Amino acid sequence: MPAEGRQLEKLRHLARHALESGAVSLVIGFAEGTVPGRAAPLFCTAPADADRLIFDGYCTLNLANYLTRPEVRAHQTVALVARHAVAKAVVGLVQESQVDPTRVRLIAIHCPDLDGLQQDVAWTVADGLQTLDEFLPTAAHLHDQELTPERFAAVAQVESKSSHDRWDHFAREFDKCIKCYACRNVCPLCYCERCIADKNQPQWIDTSSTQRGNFAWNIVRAFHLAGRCIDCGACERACPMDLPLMELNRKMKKVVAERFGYVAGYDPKADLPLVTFKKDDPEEFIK
Amino acid sequence: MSRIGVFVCWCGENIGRTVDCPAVAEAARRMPGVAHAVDYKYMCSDPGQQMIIQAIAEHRLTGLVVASCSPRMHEPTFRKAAARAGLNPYLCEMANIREHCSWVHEDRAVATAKAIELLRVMVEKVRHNEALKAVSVPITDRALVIGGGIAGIQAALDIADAGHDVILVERAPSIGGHMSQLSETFPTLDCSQCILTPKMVEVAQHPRIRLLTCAEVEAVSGYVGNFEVTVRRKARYVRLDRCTGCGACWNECPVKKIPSEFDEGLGLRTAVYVPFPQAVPNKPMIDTENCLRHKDARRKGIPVTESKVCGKCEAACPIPGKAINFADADELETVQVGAIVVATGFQTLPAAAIPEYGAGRFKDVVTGLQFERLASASGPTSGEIRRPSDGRPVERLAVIACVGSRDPAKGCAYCSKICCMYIAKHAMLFRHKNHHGAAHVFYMDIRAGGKDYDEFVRRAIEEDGVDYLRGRVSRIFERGGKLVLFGSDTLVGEKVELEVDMVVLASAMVPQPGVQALAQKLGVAYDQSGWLTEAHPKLRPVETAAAGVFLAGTCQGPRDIPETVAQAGGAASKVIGLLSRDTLDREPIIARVDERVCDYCTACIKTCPVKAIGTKELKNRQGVLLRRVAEVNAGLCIGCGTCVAACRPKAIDLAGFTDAQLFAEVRALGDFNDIEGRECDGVPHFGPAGCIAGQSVKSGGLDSHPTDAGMEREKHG
Amino acid sequence: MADFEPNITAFVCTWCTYAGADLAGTSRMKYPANVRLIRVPCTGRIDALFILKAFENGADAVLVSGCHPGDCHYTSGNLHARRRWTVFSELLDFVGIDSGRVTFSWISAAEGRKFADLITEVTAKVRALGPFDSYRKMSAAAGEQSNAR
Ligand SMILES: Cc1cc2nc3c(=O)[nH]c(=O)nc-3n(C[C@H](O)[C@H](O)[C@H](O)COP(=O)(O)OP(=O)(O)OC[C@H]3O[C@@H](n4cnc5c(N)ncnc54)[C@H](O)[C@@H]3O)c2cc1C
Ligand code: SF4
Ligand code: SF4
Ligand code: SF4
Ligand code: SF4
Repeated sequence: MPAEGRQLEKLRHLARHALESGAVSLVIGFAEGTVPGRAAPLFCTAPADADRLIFDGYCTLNLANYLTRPEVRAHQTVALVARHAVAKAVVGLVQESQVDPTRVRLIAIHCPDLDGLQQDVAWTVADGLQTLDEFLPTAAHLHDQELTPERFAAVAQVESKSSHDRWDHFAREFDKCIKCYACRNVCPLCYCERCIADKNQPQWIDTSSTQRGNFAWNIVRAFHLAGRCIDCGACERACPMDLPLMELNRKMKKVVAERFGYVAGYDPKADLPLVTFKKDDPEEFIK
Repeated sequence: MSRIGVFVCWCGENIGRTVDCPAVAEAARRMPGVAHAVDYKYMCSDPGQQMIIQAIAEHRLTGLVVASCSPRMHEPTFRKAAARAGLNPYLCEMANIREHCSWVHEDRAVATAKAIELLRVMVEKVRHNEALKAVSVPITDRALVIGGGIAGIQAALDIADAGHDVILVERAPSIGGHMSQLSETFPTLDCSQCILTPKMVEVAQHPRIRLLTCAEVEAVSGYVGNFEVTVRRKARYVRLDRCTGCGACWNECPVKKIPSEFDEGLGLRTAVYVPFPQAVPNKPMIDTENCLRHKDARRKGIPVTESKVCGKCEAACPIPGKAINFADADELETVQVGAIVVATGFQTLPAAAIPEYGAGRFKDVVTGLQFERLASASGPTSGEIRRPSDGRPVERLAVIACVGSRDPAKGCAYCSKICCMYIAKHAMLFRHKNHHGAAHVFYMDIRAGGKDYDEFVRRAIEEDGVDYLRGRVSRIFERGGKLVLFGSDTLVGEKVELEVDMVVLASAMVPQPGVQALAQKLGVAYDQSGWLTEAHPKLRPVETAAAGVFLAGTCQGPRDIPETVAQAGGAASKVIGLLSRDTLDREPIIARVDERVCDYCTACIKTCPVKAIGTKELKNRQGVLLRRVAEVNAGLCIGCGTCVAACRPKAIDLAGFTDAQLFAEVRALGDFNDIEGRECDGVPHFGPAGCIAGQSVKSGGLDSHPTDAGMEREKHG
Repeated sequence: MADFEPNITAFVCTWCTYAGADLAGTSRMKYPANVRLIRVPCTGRIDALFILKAFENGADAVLVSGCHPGDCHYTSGNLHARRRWTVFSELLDFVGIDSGRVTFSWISAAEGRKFADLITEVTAKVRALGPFDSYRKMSAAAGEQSNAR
C-alpha cells in the first residue's frame, strides 16, 4: 500500500474507533465530491460512515466552520479531520467562546509546511484522537512560517503600487462582487447569526451589490477579521468571482503582527488584538 | 411621527451677529419632522425657557433641538425645561452654533449655512431619540474598607464618625500596617506607635466599625450602592470572643525561634503569637506552618483535631472552655455594602531583587524597614542600633538611596517619594543615638518636597553632620567583619571606598503582591507597575473608574503618612456623600444587548473598561441551557460605548448614542447634490441647494425611513 | 479647483476634543467652516462604519479625535480605539484611500489652539487633494457599470 493509502486507513480507523467507543458522536471529514477534484464535507455519525472518508490536497474547506452550526452544537463531543488551518480556526472559536474545547477532538493531519495541502504534498495522520491542548504543541513550530515574506508577496505587490493604482485595483476587484456571501459562509470565524451586512436598522452596508455596497462590504469583512483570520484561504477559494480576498486578509495579518505582535490561531488563552491594548501601543499616525 | 420643536438662540449678539438666526429657524421649518421653529434673543433666560415649555404643550412636541451654545454649557438647563413641560428630558438635544460656529467664523453666509447643517444633524438625531429613564439604584448604607493600615484606619474612622456602618477587612492578624513598624516619623520625629495606637484602639471600640482581621476579599459582585462582597475569614485557631489576650499560651509555646514578620526577621516569636504588643485585636493566632500540632497532623495526614502532639497552649489557656480552638476553619461570609475603599498599601522591593548590594546575603545590609525596627524603642534591640550579625554597636553607617526606584530594569520606573525623607531620618536617628558615630548617605538627588521637609534634610546635614555623597554605590563586599562599599562621588568626580559596620538600603516601594487580582475583582485598573489607577489623575484622585470604589493610601502609588491620611479623608468624604443618600440616579446613557443577535463572542465583555458586561444564560421552560448572551449591568455601565464599536454584528447599542442616531447624524451631513447617480432613498434631504428628492417638505411631518420598516435577515435562517 | 470647499465630517469625544473645540470658540479663534462635529461619549464608541458612511454621504475627509492616552474619561476607551484605528487606517490606505482623507488626533479640552490649527491644516490639505470623487462616483445603484476613474 502506498504511504498515502496507509495514512487514509489510519484516518478511517481513528474515526471509526472514535464513534464506536462513544468518544464522540460526530466526526466531520471529507468524502469524494460529485465534481471530481472537489471534496465534500462528510458528517459521520455511524462507525460505518468512516469508510467513506477520504483525504487529499483538495480537502481545503475549513471544517471548523461547521462547529458553530446548531445541528453540530447539538452533539456532545465532535471530532474534526483537522489540517492545521482547521485547528487554528478552532483556537479562534475557543477564544471567542463559540466552542468548548473539552467538546472537540482532532484527527490531526500534518504536512511539512503551512499551506501544504494546496500543493500536492504528503500528509500524515497523528496517532490517536487529540484534544486541542494535545495538538497545539505539535504545530507550534509552524508559527515561524506564518510571517515569511513569501506569504506576503501579493500584499507587497499591491503595496508597491501608488495609492491611485491601489484604488483602481480594488475598485475593479470589488466591482466584481455579487454579494453572494460565499466568503462569509465558508469562513469559520464569520459565525455571526445576524451579520452586520444583513442589518437593517440602520443599514450600514448597502445590501444590493452596488459599487458602494460592495466596497463597504469588502472593507468591513476584512476589518472584522483583522487579528482573527487564521489565513486558511477558504473565503478566496469559495469566491465565485475570484476576488483577491487574501490580499486584504493578509494585509490585516501583517499589520496586526507588526503592530501588536500577534498571529492568530496558536494560543486559545490569548486576548484577541482588537479587544485588548497596551498603554504604549504605537500611535505615530495620530496627530 | 416626530413633531420636533427647534429653538434658535441669538445669544444676544454672540450668535446673532454672525449667524442669521431667523434664516436658520426658517430653514428648520422646512426640515422633515420639524413641527415648530422659532428664534429668540436668549433661549436660556426665563422667558426663553417659558417659550419652550409653552411650545411643547401647544404644538404637542415629541422632541426638541435648541440651537445655541455648547451642550456642555446648557444641556442640563434645557433638559430640565423639557422635563418641566412633561417631555422626557432625553428627547432634547442641542446644536452648538456658538462655540462651534458663530465664534469661530466671520463670514455671515458661511456661518449661517454651517449653523443650518449643524441643526439638521441634531434634528435627525432627535428623530431617533427615545425617552430614557434615569437609572435609580438604592444604596446600602454600609462601607467596606479593604486594608487596615493608616489609610484604611483613617477612612474607616471618618466614615463611621459620620454615622455610617463600616466593615474593615484586614489580611494580617492585626491592623496597623507599615506605620506600626516605624520608629519615629519624619519630619517631626514623633513616635509612630504613640500617634497610631490610639487610632487603632478607636477602630476596635467604634460601635459602627466591624473589624475582620485574618480576612480577605474573595469575590465581589454588584455595583455602586449595591455591592455583594464575599469575605474569607481565615482560621485563627483562637476564639476572639473568649480570649482575653493574657499571654499564657505564647509563654508556654515551645516553638520560640520563628523570625518575627513584624520585626522584619530581626526578632523572634512563638507559633501562637500576637504580632506586636500593641496589636489590635490584642489576641493571638496560631501560625499553622510552625505549630507542632499542625505539623504533626500534616505529616500524618489527619485532621489537626485528632493530633495529640504538644497542645501546650490549649493546656495553658486559663479561660473556662478554652479560647484555643483547634477545630477552627476558614469561613466565607457575604456582606452587602454600598461603597468600597481600597487601602491595601505597599511592600518594599524584596531583597532577592537587589543582589548587587548583598541584601539577604550579608546580615548587616538591612532594609529601611529593618532599620526602623532597630531604631524602635519596642524593637528587637530596644532601640539601640546594633549589627544583626554579631550584635555589636554600629560606629559607621551607610545609607543608599534609590535602591530599585527610578530604575526601569527593576520594574520601578517611578520615584518612591518617601525614601529621601526616611534616609535623612535614619541617618539622623543614628546620630542621635550614637554621637560619635558617622553616617554617610549615597544619593542621586534629594527630593524633599513637603512642609518642613527640606528643612528636615538640611538639619540632618547641618546639625547632625550627616555626610551626603552624591553618587551610586556599585558594589558591596565583606572584609574583616566590615562591609566595604565601592562607589563614586559624582560631585567631586572621585571613586569612593568606604568601610562601614552596617548598610541601610532605601529599597523601592512596590505594590502589594496580588493586589492586581483584587483589582480585577473590583473592576479597578492598575498601571504597568501595578499601582491602582484613579479615575482622573488630577480631578478625581480618590475615585476609580468603577463607580462606588475609592482608593486610599499607598495602594495607588508611593506616598508618606500625611498624604495617605489626607487621601483617606478624601475617599471617606466621597463615601459619606454617597451613603448619605437613599438612592442614586445614574445617567441612562448605558449599553444594552439585543439577545436575538448576540453571538456571545465576548468582544464587548473583554473591552468594557469597567467590566460591566457579564453573561446571561438563556434557558427554555425546562431549564435547559439554550445559549449564552452578553448582559450589561446597568449599575456598572458608565456609558462609554467602547463595547458597541467592538461588537461586529451590532448586537449591543448605547442608549443616547445609538447606531440609529449616529447613522442619522452622518446621513444628515450628506450633500446629495454632489452625488451622481444616487437614487432617492426616501429620506428627504437638504443640501445647501435643497432636497434633490423633491419630496413634499412643507408638511414638515415626513417621516418615512425605508430603514424603519423591513425585518432583519439572519444568516443561518 | 480654486473654489472647492471640502466637506469634512469629524467624530469626536465629548470630554476632550469636543471641549477643545468649545475652548477654541470661547477664545474666538478662527478656522475654516468646513468641519462638522459629531459628538460621541468616547472615542471607544467610534465605529469604522461611521467613517465609511461619512464617505458614502459625500465627505471629502474624516477626522477622528479624542482624549490623549491617559486622559480618557472612561480610562481606556481611547486605547481600544487606537488599536482599531491602527488597523482600519492601514486598511483604508491599502485600498487606495489617501491617508490625507482620514486624520486621527488627540486633542484635549485645553487644546483649543491645537483644534483650530488642526482644522485649518486638514482643510488646506483636503482642498489640495480635491473632492473625493473616486468615492462619490462609485455608483449607489445596482447593476451600474463601473465608473471608478
Ligand atoms: C522604611 C520606611 C520608613 C517610613 N517612614 C515614614 C515616616 O517617617 N513618615 C511618614 O510619613 N511616612 C513614612 N513611611 C511611609 C509610610 O509607611 C506609608 O506612607 C504608610 O504606612 C502607608 O499606609 P497605607 O495604609 O497606605 O499602607 P500599609 O501600611 O501598607 O497598610 C496596608 C494594610 O492593608 C493590608 N492589606 C494588604 N492587602 C490586603 C488585602 N488584599 N486584603 C486585606 N488587607 C490587605 C495590609 O496587611 C496592611 O495592614 C515610611 C515607609 C518606609 C518603607
Ligand atoms: S477570512 Fe478567509 S482566510 Fe480568514 S479565516 Fe475566514 S475564510 Fe479563512
Ligand atoms: S462579516 Fe463581520 S458581522 Fe458578518 S459574519 Fe463576518 S464577522 Fe460577523
Ligand atoms: S460583542 Fe456583540 S455579539 Fe459579541 S458578546 Fe458582545 S453583544 Fe454579543
Ligand atoms: S458602554 Fe459598554 S464598554 Fe462602556 S461601560 Fe457600558 S458596558 Fe462597558
